[in-house]
Amino acid sequence: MKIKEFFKKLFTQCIGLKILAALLAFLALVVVQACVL
Amino acid sequence: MTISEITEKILAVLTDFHWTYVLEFVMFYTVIYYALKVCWRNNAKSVVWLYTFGFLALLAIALFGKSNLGVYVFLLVFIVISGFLLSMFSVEIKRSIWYAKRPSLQMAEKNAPKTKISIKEQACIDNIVHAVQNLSKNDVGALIVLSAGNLPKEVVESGVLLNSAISSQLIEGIFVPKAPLHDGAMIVYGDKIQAAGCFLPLTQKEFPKEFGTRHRAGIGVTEIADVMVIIVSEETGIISTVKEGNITRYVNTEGLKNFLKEYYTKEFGADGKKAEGKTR
Repeated sequence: MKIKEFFKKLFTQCIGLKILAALLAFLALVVVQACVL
Repeated sequence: MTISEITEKILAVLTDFHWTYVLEFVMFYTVIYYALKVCWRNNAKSVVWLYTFGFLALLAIALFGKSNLGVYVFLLVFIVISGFLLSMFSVEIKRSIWYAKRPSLQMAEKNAPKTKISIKEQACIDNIVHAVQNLSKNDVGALIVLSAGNLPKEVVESGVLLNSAISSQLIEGIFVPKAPLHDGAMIVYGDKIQAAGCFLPLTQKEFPKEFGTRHRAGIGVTEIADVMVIIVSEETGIISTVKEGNITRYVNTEGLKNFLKEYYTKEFGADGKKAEGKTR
């Protein structure tokens, strides 16, 4: 329950979205470069 | 590609750092963050998770696919889906851009109850409040747009240009049933009635059935421009105010005065500087 609340709070403050976006952007960068190389 | 080959390539990317990687990361981050934020803020949380899983699935295809074509498919689908999400919520994005562009507006909103209103602005507020009260009392429908000079030209020119001083008699006269201009919207810009009988775009959002065309038009115009709207219902005489697509019903005199004060604080500035001559 506490973990659920923690994630809810994280996303309502948009910090979670920033972390998620940064993670996805990093993955995209690595994959694109790895495939192109 | 085998897993060892993939690990090798990923390690090669991480060790062989190039400054263009930073730019690439920033571009990816910006598009992904805004697409996710717009969905999250507009109650489309399931889309956030769908976007994330779709994104990861495409990355997996690009990584484990037999040819390099997967990465191009990933980039294409990523651009198309992100563009689609951003365009789907274009109204909300526009509004957030206006808000971010005008820090003075954020300050004015915070300080609205404290800021002073000049005598001329107070006269405008009194005239509008008096007219709206009379219209409400007599169940006469009215639609008043408080413009910040940012309405599309087509909207303003769809009615009759007036550029006249604000007076309660004139406002009441415009909205008298059977009067030629009573069916459209009246546009107020600062201390002038800019135009009357204007046609506004209708909102496409879901609203209760008691909201007629007048209410839908009042909400619709706040979706395309940063304006405030006062609506008087023809059936019930209920006064409503609309701001940023949100409607407030059953507004009393005090609420209406505060709404107009907020507009004049925003339009004329906290220092009482006039917006005269800005009419377009």
